[in-house]
Amino acid sequence: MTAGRALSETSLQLYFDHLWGKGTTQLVELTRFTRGVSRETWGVEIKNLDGSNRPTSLILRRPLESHGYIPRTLRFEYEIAYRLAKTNIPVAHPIRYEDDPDWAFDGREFFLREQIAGSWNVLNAVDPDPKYDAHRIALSKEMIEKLAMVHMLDWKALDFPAILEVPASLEDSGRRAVRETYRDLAQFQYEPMPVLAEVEEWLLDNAPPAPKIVLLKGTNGLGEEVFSNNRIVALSDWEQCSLGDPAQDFARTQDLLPEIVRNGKTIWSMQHALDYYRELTGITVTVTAVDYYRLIGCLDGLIAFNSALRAVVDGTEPNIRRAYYSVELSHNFNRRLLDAVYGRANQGQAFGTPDVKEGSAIVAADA
Amino acid sequence: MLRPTPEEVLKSISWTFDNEIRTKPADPLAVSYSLTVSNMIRHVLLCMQREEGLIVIDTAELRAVLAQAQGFLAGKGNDEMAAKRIEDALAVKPASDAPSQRARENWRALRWAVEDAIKVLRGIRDRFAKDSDYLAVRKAIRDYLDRSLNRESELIREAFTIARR
Repeated sequence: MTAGRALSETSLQLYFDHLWGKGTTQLVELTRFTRGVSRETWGVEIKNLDGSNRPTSLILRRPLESHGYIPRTLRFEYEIAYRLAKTNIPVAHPIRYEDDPDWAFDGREFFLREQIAGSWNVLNAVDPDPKYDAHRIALSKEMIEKLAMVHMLDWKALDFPAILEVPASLEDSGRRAVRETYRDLAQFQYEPMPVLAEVEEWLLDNAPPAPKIVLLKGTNGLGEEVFSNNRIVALSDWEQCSLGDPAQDFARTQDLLPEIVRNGKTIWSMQHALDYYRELTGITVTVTAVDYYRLIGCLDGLIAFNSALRAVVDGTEPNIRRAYYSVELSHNFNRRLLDAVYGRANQGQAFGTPDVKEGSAIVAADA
Repeated sequence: MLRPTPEEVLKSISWTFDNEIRTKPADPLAVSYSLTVSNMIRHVLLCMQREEGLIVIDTAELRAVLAQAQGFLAGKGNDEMAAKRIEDALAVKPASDAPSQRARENWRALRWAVEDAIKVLRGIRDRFAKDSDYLAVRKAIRDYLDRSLNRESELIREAFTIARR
């Protein structure tokens, strides 16, 4: 048993002996990935001594010692992966969720999944040089194709309603997203956030009806997936998975939906992306709806930064980046939300198109 | 202006130097952290120079807008409990010894009160959708939030207009 022990090669080897039988597996290497902002992630290399074909490159995920950015449980993440493993969606398959206190390292639950070879980064994916235009458009299409696969899943058959709130109707879809975000905040709010209190009403009133209720991946794009040879080999980071309007996933795509203009002609844009998506799925998503969900992205960002700041306030991990997010980015997101309700309304605009890329890209760089 | 406090930022800088920069200063991640530290030091400096004055102005505006909300809720709004909560928040005398700490604590309590007032006012909007006093309170709160964010930007804009992480 490992209760009370720190995670180490020795203690993990004991666990594998317990899980698969003594002498079946040899732990070769255990390495912590240093950039995780919502989970502690370890790479595990093993050798099978019993001729088994179990994966030899594994990932061990467990909660941070301090507070994560996304206020969702590790179990939630596992339940998503467990269901997706039954589909043709490229994801890392989970192997085991360990919540037996006798086998928890440092008293923390963990889960094991296979590790998919590849990189979160793609060369020249954001390079504005015209020679990379075709490359960037191809990457954009790759992301859209994968989102389309996710959106076409039969989420009812996969039992997602057991773990995700189902919008009551197409009209309720946006309101569900708003409700869920404020519910997350209510779990831990420790500072007054009057701008969020003010904009909630407007966000509920102005939520666009969804064309279809689909399974949403959540944050996606560069920094969130595993790429190999310019293709996505695993969709990763499902902590913000939900059921709702496909527009929300387009609002959360990082870097892979660029606007490219050459000689006065727009050769790729959000509208091009949405047109391509309609060809694949038959679903019409509007830019207006994507703009609305960018505001929800600001809301999500504020709540994530506030969640992250708890580790600065209580001293469990006073990392400067956590403090930074709650200063500049939180200010910008508050400004954009209030502008949508207040400032822009005065200028006769229904709502604006805040650019959440800055914040999400920084979070991705740390991920 | 609320969180992180300058003290929390300084503790974060110290922790980040010890854990993320000092041991591997040439690592790209450490360089990136260094830029964030530089930004945040400038932010703390601006807070030291200006924050107290900004909190004083903001607090005065908060008190005015809360008094307006309290007046509406005690009268037309007919919500004595909500009005009393605002009254109590306006009457609180913070206990801290340090004047700057006291000002921050007071400001924080009033921000909670305005958040509460917003929620109460939202809850009765169907009854007062066309009432000019109700609309005036709602607008006063939004005006306050807008000006408050503008004040906050004074502590941010200059601090973050250098090389970025």
